[in-house]
Amino acid sequence: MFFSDVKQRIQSLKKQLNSSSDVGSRLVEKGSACVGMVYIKSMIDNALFVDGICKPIADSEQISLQLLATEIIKTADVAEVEMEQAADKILLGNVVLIISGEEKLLAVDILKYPARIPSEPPTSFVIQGPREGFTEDIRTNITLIRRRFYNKNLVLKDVFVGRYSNTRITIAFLKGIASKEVVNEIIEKLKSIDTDGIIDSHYIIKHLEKHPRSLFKQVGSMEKPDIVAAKMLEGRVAMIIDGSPIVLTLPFLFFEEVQASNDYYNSYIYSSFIRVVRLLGILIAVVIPGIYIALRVFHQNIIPIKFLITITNTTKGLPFTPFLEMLFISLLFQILYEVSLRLPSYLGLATSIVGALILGDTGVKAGLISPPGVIIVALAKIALYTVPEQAYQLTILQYLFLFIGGSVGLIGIIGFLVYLVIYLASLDSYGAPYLAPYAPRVFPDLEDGVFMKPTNSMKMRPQSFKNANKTRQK
Amino acid sequence: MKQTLSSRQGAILASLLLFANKILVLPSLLYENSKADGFFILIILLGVELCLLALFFNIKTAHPNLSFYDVIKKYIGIVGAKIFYSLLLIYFFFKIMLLFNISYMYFHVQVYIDVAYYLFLFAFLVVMNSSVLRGIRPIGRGAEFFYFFIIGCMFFIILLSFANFDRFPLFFDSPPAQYFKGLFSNLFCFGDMLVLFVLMDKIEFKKKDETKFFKYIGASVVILILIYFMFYSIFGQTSFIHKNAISDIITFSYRFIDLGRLDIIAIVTVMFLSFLQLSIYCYALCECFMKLFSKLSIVYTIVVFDAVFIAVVASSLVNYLTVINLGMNVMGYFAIVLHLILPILVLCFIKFSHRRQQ
Repeated sequence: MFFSDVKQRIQSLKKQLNSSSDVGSRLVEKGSACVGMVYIKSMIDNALFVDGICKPIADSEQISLQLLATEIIKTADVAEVEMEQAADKILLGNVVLIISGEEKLLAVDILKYPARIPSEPPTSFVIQGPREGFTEDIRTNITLIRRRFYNKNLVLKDVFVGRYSNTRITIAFLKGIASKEVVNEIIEKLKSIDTDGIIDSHYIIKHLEKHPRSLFKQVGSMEKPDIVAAKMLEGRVAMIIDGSPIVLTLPFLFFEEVQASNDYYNSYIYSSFIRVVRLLGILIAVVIPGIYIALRVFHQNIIPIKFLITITNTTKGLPFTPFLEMLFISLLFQILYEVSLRLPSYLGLATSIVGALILGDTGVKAGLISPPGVIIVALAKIALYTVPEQAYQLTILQYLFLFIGGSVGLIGIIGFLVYLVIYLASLDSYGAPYLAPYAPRVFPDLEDGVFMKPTNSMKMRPQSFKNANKTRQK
Repeated sequence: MKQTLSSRQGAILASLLLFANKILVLPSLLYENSKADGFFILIILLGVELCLLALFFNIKTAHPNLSFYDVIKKYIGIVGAKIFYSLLLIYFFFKIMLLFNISYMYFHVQVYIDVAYYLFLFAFLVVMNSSVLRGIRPIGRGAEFFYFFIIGCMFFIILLSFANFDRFPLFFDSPPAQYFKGLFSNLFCFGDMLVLFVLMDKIEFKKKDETKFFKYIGASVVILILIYFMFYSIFGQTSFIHKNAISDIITFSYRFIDLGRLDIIAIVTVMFLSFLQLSIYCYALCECFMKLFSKLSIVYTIVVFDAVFIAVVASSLVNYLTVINLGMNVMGYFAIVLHLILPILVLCFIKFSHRRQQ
């Protein structure tokens, strides 16, 4: 009677899992008792399954739920579950044990899937400082964060999102530092997401943003555990998404993009200088092509005379208007950039030669484009990557400024700049003003602003956003 | 949710507004009307500005949560409040017109030679409208963001234009009647603190915040005095010819002539200032409009403002010269009522009611 009940429950579970081809089951009989096991073959550690579950059961003299949970099974994570939860547990890489005569089931977590080892992420190289980066495996990522806080106040909470993907999102924060209000708001926001699936962390970014239609990024994304740990120490909340090497943090401020992990590992004087350079890079990337066009079309009278002569000599006889010329060079660069991203690396050199030498040099010699135009676009495009995380947004702004500079001139550029700042000042991220600590000015946070203080002098946590404890060190 | 400004942002808005209409054509007009005593008139009118600020503190302290409209309504009645707000509406509209025209003429002379008036109109209206739609808090934060850049540029201009002070004209060479005429005809270019009254309920203000206001506004007053001082020192008796003061003092700085056109610093500074000042004035105008027609939303208000503004500009009734003439004559009466009579009246009522309560 017991055997048929176990078999029935195995069948029921298989049916719940739509009898997928990778769903496996086993039945171990032991005298009058028997144990049924249901699992997904591709999601479990086979060696552990045999050595930690099957063999101990076969070798044991008596079988009961209590004995299995406490003595027989040799793996770390064993939990009692109801029949209704069993299918979900199997999907998460558990082996579910159905014991004859017992109503409850046992779920043994022996999840295993191919995962790469932590390596230095391609977007955040450091000269000095930790080199490990997140991987696609959520457990590895949690470990990478855990080992930076040997403290009970590191709290992890799981939320599952996606009707089909049922993706695990782990919210990590430091109790006593992160604001409860912000943590709860994020959890509520994640729970309210009703979508088919979360394939990568970028799928949930738009759900978390307060202004999803905005061009500007409003959620922090990073690939290195040391940066995430530092953000959490400031009172931010991290979200680790299964299957993604990008960890998200909130609240997010615009100025975070100007800060880099390197800054804290170098001399604060050098770091302050580099931050100024990054800001200049943003400004050059965004406005220089527009200003160049504005000067050529509207304001020749304010160009210094020697420079004007050079420009006039080099642009004489060009078939395009200044605006079309700049647009042409910018688009040419954009095409080359897109091609180089998608081409295999061995073809990258060929693309560079075609782009830089053939198209650029020949274009100038053929009288299609001017050398100052090429220099300006090259400078602006290189400057985009002083803040690589914002490169896409800055590219769009670059084209907008180019268009405005060509149609309205300097007044349009300044006007748009003023509007842009007013617009950014209207954004907020979970109670934090987006342009803080500069607009509004939060004076204590300026110690880690453009000009930073040595880390031992940063006594307070950022005040620009809510956190439970303001004092960082004494 | 009601948007509010911190006291610092309020102080910065007032501080930036203090430069409105004063750093381009006004120094030359003051000299034209009052000769050397133009500088003295400037100091008196800046004093009036500071008195307005003190009045603002008094009214705000007495009624921390009320808008200026509600304060007037409380003491003078709804009709009085509507009348004063109508006057304020016209006043702000004309301020915008004056600022727009002066800025247009400046940019036209300095950097745009063959560009249509409508290009400027379009550029300014787009920025003003979109800023006002974002609300006063983003405008305040935007002003805060650019504040040190603008003030830094002003100081830089003053430093570069260091002048020969021997040419600074002497005071008191006009008869007293000329003083009053000068005060009357230039009063309209002042009174920028009235914006603070209109934004009264949106500014978070505590008693000790007064110093913050005085600090920021004091800095602007010092800069203005220095600019006028430099201007009169450099140009002396030919001051009336130079209609773009802030640019001219740096353009005629012969010691730095090798560096090229340094007036680009002044041009960029004036551009930033003009956009911010016009946005603030436009917001103040919309506030007045919405108080008068409480059922209208900000979007309708903006549409009405744009329509009227474009109609006035397109009708060619108002141009650079007519705006300046109107400002120096008719608008002087508006300025007397709004800068002097209205705040003093409200203050008297507050004091009277306070005494009666005691």
